[in-house]
Amino acid sequence: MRVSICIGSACHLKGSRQIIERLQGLVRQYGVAGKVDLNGAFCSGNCENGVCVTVDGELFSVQPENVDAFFEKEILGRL
Amino acid sequence: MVTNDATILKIKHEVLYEVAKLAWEGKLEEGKDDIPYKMIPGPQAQFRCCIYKEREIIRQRVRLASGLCPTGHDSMNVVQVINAACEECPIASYLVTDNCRKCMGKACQNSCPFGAISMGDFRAHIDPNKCRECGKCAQACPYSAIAHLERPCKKVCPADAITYDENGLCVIDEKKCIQCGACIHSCPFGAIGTKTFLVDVINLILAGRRVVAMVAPATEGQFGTDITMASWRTALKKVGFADMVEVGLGGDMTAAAEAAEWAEAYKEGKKLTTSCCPAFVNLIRQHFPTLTDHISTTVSPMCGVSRMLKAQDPETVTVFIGPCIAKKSEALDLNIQNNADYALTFGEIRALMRAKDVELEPEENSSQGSSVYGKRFGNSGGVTNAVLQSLKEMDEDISPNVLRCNGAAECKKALMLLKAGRLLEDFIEGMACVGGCVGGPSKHKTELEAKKARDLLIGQADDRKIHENLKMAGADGVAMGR
Repeated sequence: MRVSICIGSACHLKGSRQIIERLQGLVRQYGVAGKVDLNGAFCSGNCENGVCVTVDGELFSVQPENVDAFFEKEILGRL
Repeated sequence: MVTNDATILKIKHEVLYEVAKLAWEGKLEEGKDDIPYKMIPGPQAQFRCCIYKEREIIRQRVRLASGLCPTGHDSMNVVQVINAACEECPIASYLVTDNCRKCMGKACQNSCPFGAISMGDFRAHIDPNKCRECGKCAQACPYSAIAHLERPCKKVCPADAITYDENGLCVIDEKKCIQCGACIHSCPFGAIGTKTFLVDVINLILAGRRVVAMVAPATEGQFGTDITMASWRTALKKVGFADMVEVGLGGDMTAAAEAAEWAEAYKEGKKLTTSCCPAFVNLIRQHFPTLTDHISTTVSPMCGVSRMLKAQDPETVTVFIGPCIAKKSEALDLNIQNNADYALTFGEIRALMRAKDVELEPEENSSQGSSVYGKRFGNSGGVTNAVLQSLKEMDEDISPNVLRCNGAAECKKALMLLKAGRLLEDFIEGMACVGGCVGGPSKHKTELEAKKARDLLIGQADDRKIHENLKMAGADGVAMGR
């Protein structure tokens, strides 16, 4: 599964770095490193809905506060 | 540097400069659509059929410089085709030229295994439907009358990733592309470029974030004998970077960790490859997936320095600067923790600086952050020398054989041997660019042009050892595992 997190400056300022670190931690914690491929993405212009995260091409808006719920539903839930 | 794209380089740099200037002023959104008109005022076209095509090319370049795909479609690749600029070079690859004398020997016809050659009124003719592009006719012709036409981009691509669409426009096969960037400067029309993080870096500096630059080991010598690491630090601080760290220090870090890993693997009889060149790592992952277990788990020098900086202050934004395109893809690989946030090329950082009226100025060579071994990481063979030196410093009594692969073609050969179980050496040093990073696609000067200045600058460094330098820099505690 390919998960892309926008690392453009707008999303960076909205907390994409924290989201990335949390996702990296969760992927390790749940032992799904072999199944989940975490990638950075250049800005795609959807800055107002940031932080932009795509899971296999489907776009989500994620905030540092709801990463855990997002991970459980959209990443673990799809594996 | 003499290249076939000197005119294009000027245009590319001008676009980066205009984008950087607007970004610094916080006016990119409202101003970006004016750049094509500013650069191509008209009414006469200078390079292409008309000013409208020229402006469209600039518009696509502006998108790339802002980190977007040139056209609307979304793609993850760092390397992108600027399709308005692609001149649809001929694909038919063998062509009979005026040199043909329609001779009696007809070696071309006789050598063709596919019966593709007939005699026309004035010269031989190759039937494109029968020709299988074996090249035997071109070798056979005593007048060198048969030319091999190949798209320059396709010719240099080591990963066979260049294809074309039904209109003959260049298309990159993203499953195969290893982001080495070799195609970019091969194109005499400048139709291939890369997405940049230029605007992101400017925005984060403007937002007051602590942004630290990490300058590649290949940098020394690129801008002459009097542009030193101190020159870089001064210029980067002037534009708003909080500090600058030599990635040569990361070379020392990687060498030390790699040495420990090699020592263990050597005793187990396991063959390993280096992991510092991201295009080489991409080559293994995408083209030799069964060999991924052989990639050393030590992170790159760029990642090592980034981890050190983020351990000191987790809020730090780290930006790599060098001659490399593939480093952008390494920064995008988030399976590695705390790697560089962004990577810029020399051209991009110079546009960023020029847009603020800052230039690299001569300064005394007084700042040394790395051992000579770390500094030489950017040369082919340099990684091996550093790892062997580190083994010596660690009193590891082993003498492994290392195959130093200089350029992607040699890398592929070595990987094929490893895959077939016929590699004699114990380790592979892989560098996708010929000469090492100093031959990278975004170099300012060629390896040869820069050599004298590079040797001189590095020659002024003291003879500190790798592990000694790590202690001095407080970098010996950084975790270097993937």
